[in-house]
Amino acid sequence: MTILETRKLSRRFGALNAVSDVSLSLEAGEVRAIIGPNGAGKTTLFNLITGKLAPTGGKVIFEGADVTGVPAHALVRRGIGRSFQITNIFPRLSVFENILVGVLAGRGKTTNLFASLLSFETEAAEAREILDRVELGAKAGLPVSALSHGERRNLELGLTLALNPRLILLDEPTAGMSVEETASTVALIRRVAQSATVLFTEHDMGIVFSIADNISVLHQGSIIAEGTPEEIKGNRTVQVAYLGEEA
Amino acid sequence: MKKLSDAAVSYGSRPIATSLVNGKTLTLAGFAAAIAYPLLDGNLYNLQLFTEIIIISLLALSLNILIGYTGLVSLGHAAFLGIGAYASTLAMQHVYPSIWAGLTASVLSAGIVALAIGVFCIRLSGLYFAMITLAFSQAFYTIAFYWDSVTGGDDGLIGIPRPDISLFGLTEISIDGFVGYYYFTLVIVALAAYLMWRILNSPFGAILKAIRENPERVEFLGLPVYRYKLAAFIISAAFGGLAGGLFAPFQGFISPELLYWTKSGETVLMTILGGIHSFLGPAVGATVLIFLRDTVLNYTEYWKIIVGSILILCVLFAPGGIVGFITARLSEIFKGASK
Repeated sequence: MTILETRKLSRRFGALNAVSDVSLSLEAGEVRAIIGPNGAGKTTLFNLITGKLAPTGGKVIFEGADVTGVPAHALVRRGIGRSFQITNIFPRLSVFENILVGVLAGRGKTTNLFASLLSFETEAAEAREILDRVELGAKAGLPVSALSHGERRNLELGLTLALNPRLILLDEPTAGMSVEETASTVALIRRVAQSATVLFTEHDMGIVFSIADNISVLHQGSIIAEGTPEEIKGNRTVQVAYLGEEA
Repeated sequence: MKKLSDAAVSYGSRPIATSLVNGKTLTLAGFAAAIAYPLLDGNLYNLQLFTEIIIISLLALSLNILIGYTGLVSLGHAAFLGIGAYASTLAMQHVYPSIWAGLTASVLSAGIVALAIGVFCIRLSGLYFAMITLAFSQAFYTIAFYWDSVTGGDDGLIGIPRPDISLFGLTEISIDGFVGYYYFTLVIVALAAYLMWRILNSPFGAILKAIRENPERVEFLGLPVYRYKLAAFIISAAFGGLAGGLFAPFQGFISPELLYWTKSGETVLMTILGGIHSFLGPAVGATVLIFLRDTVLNYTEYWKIIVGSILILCVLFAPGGIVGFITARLSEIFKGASK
């Protein structure tokens, strides 16, 4: 079953074609990497899929429905979760509160004006479970400022997971992490991928080749190649355009 | 292992369920003192001063829903004090001579006006939000100033009644005297403050704080940030309007000055002075500022110089406001004691 499809998706910024005629198709359960040099249009593509930017052309189809132009918050409700390139959390709430806010939002409990927050035990339990999944269970009560960079990235991923998305977009999930943190995040993404479709960008080719089922290569806003890690490794166009200097 | 994480979690959920300054005990003690006060001190001047403090505390608390919790600095909050005051006066003088009619009119009119202008204001943030709220409040000031036939223009409205309260038709209670109106104000403001506290410690309140921290991320939690901010704006205005509804009968007359931008500025100052990161901080700020004004006025009419200097010291050395400063010192002392 196809979960996400983009049809000739395009976005221009003035004279610049940041994304042009990108057609992607993701199977449910797939782990897909989008690679490409800086400025290839990866983040713009993510912004188009998640509704943060409106496309200047083309369509986004999610689970069979045309969702082009649907606002970001409504897409989240439909099951598209996103983690950001720049760590994007709530800095002055505690680690636990960060996730709890996400769980409450995911369960549609946030229009409740009068019930005490402490009475939401099911949600609190789910928040604890998510914290354990992202290996922050022992740090629940700490302020976010006490977390390392890698832990904050995990917290952000936890916040995305709190909404139970069926499709998760991860923008450079291991950027700036230490070797140990990277290893644990890779393991975490593998676990997440067992219950959701994952679309991610990443600069580290080792990680891309080890997690992705399929890879799409973006170059100057267009897809120039697509295939399994082996196919991409052997693809001449990709080597010239992207891996050029290294290969 | 499970116990450990439970302990961490119960600690972790404390900051959202903001304790009333230093917990319920202190708040209840303050409330008890406020109830006992008229019995201990028969000075009517002081009683009036306290009544004003209680009403203006409500105004500052309501503003802090925007400033401290949602992260929106409004420079036009006095507009809702004024709208509430005019609405309650007009309702009592021309519709139905009951304090309940007055208070209901003040809350509804402030809320409706907030909905109408909030649609525009909430699209902006930061400095632009501050500016547009200031502009709207000045527009309302101008309306109050020139719409003679309704607002009495520059002279305002006089002869505002304090009608007796009927308790289920069983008995009538007079709130016309100083003591009666003091207690009436105390009860209404305490109920309103409790309601606000509940709202701010609900899931909705948690989302307001999350919006303050990072609106973009809240959008990616699947929530329409705009509507949450608008709701906060309306709730804040409604409580501000209630303060106006209590203020008009308190003073007995009202004039456009209530809506003037300096009044809004004063309310922002109180809120910051008391501390925006604690629920009751703004009430402490209102108390201190009104006391200062009253005390310093005995010595010099240039009280604003003294008050201004104190504010500068406060902002420089206690950026968390009075309550933030005290809480920080207390936690230092307790840390020292536990070592």
